[in-house]
Amino acid sequence: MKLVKHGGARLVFQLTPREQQLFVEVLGLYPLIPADARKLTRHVGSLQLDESQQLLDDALAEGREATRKQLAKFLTDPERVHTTKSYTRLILGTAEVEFLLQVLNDVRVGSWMKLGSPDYDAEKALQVTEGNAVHFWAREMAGAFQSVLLAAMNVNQG
Amino acid sequence: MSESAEPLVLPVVDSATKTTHESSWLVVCWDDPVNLMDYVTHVFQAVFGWDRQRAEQHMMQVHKQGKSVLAREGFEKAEHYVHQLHRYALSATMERDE
Repeated sequence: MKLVKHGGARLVFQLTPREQQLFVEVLGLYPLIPADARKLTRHVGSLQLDESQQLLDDALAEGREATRKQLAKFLTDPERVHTTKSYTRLILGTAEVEFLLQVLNDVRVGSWMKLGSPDYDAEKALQVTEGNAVHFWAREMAGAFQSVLLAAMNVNQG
Repeated sequence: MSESAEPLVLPVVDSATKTTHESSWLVVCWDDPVNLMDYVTHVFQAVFGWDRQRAEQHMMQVHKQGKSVLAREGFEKAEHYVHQLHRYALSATMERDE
């Protein structure tokens, strides 16, 4: 996946057929972060915060559903995705790049959580097994696509 | 760096983020070592409108100290920022500034 054209708020990426397949597979894993993983505060014992936590949970649930629908629409939008035999072109505005970065980070962080949220030391001891290989794969693939999008945003911002 | 068990230190808050004396909530970003450093910098720029240098300073604080206080705000604004950071799948909370 590489940036082939940019200007203003428009970025064009080109993907090989294999990259396009991987991109769709990684995005298809969304959402991976458990619904109750995000806490508004570590402060305990406030009714105001309990109510706000409920609002946050509701907002995140609604957001996940909206994102899932938006993602499905995006991946089949002929204005955004042009596929030929030899490549796929993604035509993105900066808002769509932000959207994809959010989705990819959900997959990256969610995969890491499924691996047990290892810190730097625990990571060294982690073994790839048949059961967790998909989480390693998803974490690294999501990070690779994020890096391309972030680099493109930096280039575009000059 | 994972969440630290070290003693809590007083937060370093950028003076520009201290908006009113009614402000009483700290927006804290915690380290998840899986996040890409460039990504965290990008999110801070997107959510707070900071320039790259300032965003990188806070990103490095998260990376090295396990957390960074990003803003001191009233309840609703702090809540808004935490929601935004969660949308980007960063670990963030609002804590009473006591």
